[in-house]
Amino acid sequence: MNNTKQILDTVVETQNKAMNSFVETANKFQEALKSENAFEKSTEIYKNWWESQMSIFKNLSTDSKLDIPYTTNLTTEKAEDFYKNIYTNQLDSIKKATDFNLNLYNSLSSYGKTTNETNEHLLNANTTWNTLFESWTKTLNSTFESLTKTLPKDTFNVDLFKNALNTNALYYKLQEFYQPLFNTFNTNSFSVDSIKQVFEPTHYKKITEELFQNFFPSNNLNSLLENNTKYVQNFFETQKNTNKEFQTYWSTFTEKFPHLISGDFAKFNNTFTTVNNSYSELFAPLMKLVSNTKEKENIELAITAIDKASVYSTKLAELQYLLYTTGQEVAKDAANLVTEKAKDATFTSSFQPFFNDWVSLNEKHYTKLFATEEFSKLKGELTTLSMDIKKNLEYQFENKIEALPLVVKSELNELYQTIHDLKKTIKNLENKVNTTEKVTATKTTATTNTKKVTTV
Amino acid sequence: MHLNQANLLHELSDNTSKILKGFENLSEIKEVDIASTPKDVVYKEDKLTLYRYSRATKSTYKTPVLIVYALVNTYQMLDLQPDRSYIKNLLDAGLDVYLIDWGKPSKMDKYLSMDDYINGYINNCVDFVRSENKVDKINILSICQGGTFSVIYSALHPDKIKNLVTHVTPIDFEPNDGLLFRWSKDMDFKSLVDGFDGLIPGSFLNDGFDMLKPMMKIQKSTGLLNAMEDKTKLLNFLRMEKWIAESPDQAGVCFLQFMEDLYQQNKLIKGELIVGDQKVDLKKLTMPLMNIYAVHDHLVPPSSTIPLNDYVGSKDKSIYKFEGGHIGVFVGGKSQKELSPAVTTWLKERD
Repeated sequence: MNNTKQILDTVVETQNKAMNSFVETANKFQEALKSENAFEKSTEIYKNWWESQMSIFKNLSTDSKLDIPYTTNLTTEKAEDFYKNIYTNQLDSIKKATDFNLNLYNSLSSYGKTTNETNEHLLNANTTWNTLFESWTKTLNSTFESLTKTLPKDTFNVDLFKNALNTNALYYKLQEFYQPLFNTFNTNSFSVDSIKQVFEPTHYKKITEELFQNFFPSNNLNSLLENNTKYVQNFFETQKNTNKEFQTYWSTFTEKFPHLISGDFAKFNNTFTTVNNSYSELFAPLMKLVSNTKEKENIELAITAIDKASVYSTKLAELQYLLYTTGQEVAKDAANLVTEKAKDATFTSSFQPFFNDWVSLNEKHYTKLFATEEFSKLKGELTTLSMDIKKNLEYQFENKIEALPLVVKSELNELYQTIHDLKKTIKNLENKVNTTEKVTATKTTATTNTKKVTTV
Repeated sequence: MHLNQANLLHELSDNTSKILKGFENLSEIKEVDIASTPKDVVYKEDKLTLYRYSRATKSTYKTPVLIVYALVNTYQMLDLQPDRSYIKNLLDAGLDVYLIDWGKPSKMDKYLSMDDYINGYINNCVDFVRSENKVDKINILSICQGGTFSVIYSALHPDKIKNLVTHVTPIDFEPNDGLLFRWSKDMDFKSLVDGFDGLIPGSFLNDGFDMLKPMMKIQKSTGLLNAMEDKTKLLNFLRMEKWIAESPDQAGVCFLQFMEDLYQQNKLIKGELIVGDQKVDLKKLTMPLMNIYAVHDHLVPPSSTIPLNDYVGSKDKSIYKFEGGHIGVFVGGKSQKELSPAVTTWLKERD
């Protein structure tokens, strides 16, 4: 463990050195931007920083402590990969930083440029600086994820560590989102338009999706619809009693299904209503022609599954719309908060207070949304629909494996119910026996006592 | 107004250092121990285990106490760690403590009903403790849903219970103060139980609880980042998380009746609830009652807990207001200093 500690300490120490150098240089650049002789100052700052970075990473790559063999509980290949990754990634990031600053240095070295041009270069450098760090953070976070593979899974929930990393990532994503707004303050170009630009709904959409991942499922629903649709279609195509008219009608509907899951809520709703209204009418007469078999039952189940999955999609889109619009409210309030606090010279000494305020605004707005009747009803309907679809698919599956020598769930349920009822009966009988025994014992004792009294 | 870029970089650096230090601490932690107060198994029935906590000295109370926890989550929260253990506090005060561990229901248990839990399991445990201690009546200390069950039990079997203490117990389900109460009104529980094939997953319930405070996961993760550097804080955090993660599934039949009859139809206080073949009349609950509620409880709001005292038949009834949340009642610093002494004193006065 000491070796691991030493290695980790080296990582932290080196990183801190590099980071301190970044920090110090960033401060100097910002100060330099305010002065009249920005060019001269920045050139000097750059030279110093460049030398400092080179020195730190020269030491990092030659540091004898890194040669310590991995002889701890982390001496797995995964752990070794992690250490390799973290150094490679850090070195790579720093190389990018160095390249960037070399370009900056070259531009600063171009004598004859105006002060305005120089300042513009430096402002661009500021923005690039942030981008660089965002990229570096992403690299670090992905590297840290590999850490989780070496943690003892039996001891605690490794997901906790992943969650912490995800929150860190969200933190920086949010910072990235708000950076343009903060930049307008830094460059004294703050205006109402700048706020409007920042709070472009499509930009904020991803943050809402990250916050409520459960309500933004992947493509499972699409494949469910597609599979069931194909199943029904294939069935009717192979049925000799099916006439061409129905097949054509069916094809028309199946063509419309992609629109149902396109995410266009208005189109979605209209298409669904049209399809759904005609659906049962279309298949009801057709199903009369099919003989009563397990396959017929499954086709009916598949048609119901498509119906329900379509309704589910519509309801989910409605709920997602509520989440998005609430996210917009949060974003607007956050903008107002920033604007209000902009008057306070001490604000934005750090991003953390803003992050905390943003979290509180989310808590307030989403708690309010979750308490509405509209949300509650949608949530209830979605849960019911998802359970219905789950059961439907299970029945279809049971029908398909019924011919195999397997015990299916519904048969086991009967068994569980019988066992439960039998156990209850036995316990009741045992209690009755115990009570009877106690009464008998009491009567016997009473009789004996009476006899004793009589004898006396 | 000025955004200091340097501070942003400092934050990045700090967080990275915290993660690395946290990783080092996590690697060193071999075991996250909870519920470590010594105890013995004294009775078992199906998946239920009845424990009796070990005492170094003889109990200073005549009446033993049976703790009835909820079916949701586990009793281990009452004994999270030695310096935050409600159970240890009860033992230190001189009580003889028994506790029901419901175990983890499997599909075999999906048909267990409220009648099975209340008139079956609880009643059998009460009888065991009475018999072992040769007393007619025992005390019940109950928590959350376990409180609701104990209230029902005490109304059905008042001759067996000497004193009843309820903690954060939902009784009046009419108010929509909490999101849980609000959402349950629009939920089709029959379809839920069918969909989950008669066994409600603990993880499903935990997801629902998480949503009651929409940003809780983010706040928790931020807290973890800050706790990671300190091994003691990290261990405390992990203990709580371990408890949350160990969330047993729920027997569907019992869950359905609890949600439909109570959350949706509020039958208990209306006098319409039937358990087994008996109607539950709260006026028949006549023993001394101590009703504890938490002011900032987001799971069981005070508006659901407080009314209990208005419906029971007890003449000796008190209400205790705890300045904290649903979990803070048992693990918070205030709980150790104030609540435990209040409960043990109340019981001593009625022993």
